[in-house]
Amino acid sequence: MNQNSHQPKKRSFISTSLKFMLAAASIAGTVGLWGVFSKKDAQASAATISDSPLPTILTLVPFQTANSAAVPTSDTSISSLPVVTQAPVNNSTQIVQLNQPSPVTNTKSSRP
Amino acid sequence: MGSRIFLAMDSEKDLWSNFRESVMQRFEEWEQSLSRFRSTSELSEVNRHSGQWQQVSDTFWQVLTLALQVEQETQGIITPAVLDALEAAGYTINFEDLGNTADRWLRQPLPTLANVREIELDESNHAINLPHGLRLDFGGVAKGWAVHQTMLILREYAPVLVDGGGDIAVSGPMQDGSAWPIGITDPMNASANLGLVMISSGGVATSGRDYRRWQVNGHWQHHLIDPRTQKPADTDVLAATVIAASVMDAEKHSKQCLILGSSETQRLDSPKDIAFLLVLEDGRTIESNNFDQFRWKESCKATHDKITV
Repeated sequence: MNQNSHQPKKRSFISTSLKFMLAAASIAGTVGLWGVFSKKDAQASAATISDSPLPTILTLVPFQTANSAAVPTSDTSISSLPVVTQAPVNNSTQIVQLNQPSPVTNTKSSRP
Repeated sequence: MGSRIFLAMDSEKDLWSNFRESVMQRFEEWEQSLSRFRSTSELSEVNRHSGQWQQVSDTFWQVLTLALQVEQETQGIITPAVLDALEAAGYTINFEDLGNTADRWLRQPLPTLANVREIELDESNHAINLPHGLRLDFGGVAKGWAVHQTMLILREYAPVLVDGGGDIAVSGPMQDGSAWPIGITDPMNASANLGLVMISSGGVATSGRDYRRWQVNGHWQHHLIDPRTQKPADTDVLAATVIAASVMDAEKHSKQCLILGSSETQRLDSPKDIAFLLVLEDGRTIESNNFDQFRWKESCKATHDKITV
């Protein structure tokens, strides 16, 4: 006689739909926690940078006059232009009189 | 010398083409003798052998003796012994190449004080002995000397004006007797002029910290060293223009005015034959009582023609 046929069929205590719900909840929980933790990490990193700045690096910046600045061309991007620093311009009135001769040259602090 | 040289000769003939080669050759010779930026120059060679007697060229001898004379006349304010301080401030190579030298700056040693008055001179052999460790830099003295020499050579042929990067020598009035009109560049706006001066002979020079400067940690550094502090001069003067009997005198006084600042400059018992215009950092200007007589004025053009410093 076949005894197996008399054994009661193993019953599933968790229904398929419940399995799906558990899986979905697990995924949602993982993603949610990931988001929370990553946000905390970002905040922590930002706080670290602002709290302990890197040691200052000495820099040399050449001073160039407006005359020496490169003129942008069609294939020149702004980022490739040289940095031009200049003392604030004093809008002092330049008096040009009639009949004033043109200067042969100009005296100025030593230039190349 | 890191400067553009401009010459103007008042002549109907094309004299420049006759002298172009010889003048350029002379400047090359002077550069090879006096430049601190050339490792093969005579100056670099002399600096490498301090503590030993060395024979030097006529050019080197003339500029060295001039620099020592200037050092005495200015009580040490203008001295050829600031090379260590200049390099410590970051000015180690040609100014135009300074942009990428932050690492060089970080490696510079602290400046050492050296006494330029301990230099031994043997005039008969044109030989010198620098105290051990002393290195020289002639700076503007060499440039003023070169501009003056060029003017002396060319004035035999026509009235001439020689401009070495803003330091100007004038041989005499133009052929029609009028003075040379020379503009004064506004240090706060390089495209504008502060005015026009009329120079019949002598020299005009401007020292300033408006161009040859760079930033370190947000603080401006510049090339005019105050030997009392061995650092770039802390001064309220942004630029000083001086008119004098020669471009060498003008260069000396303009640098002195800038390093000393406006208050000390006005207290100085300045020679009567110089006139100065100071532009202060806040934009104000201060000028000597006699500066106005050099300014161009339509109403007194005839006077300008006769003015000689």
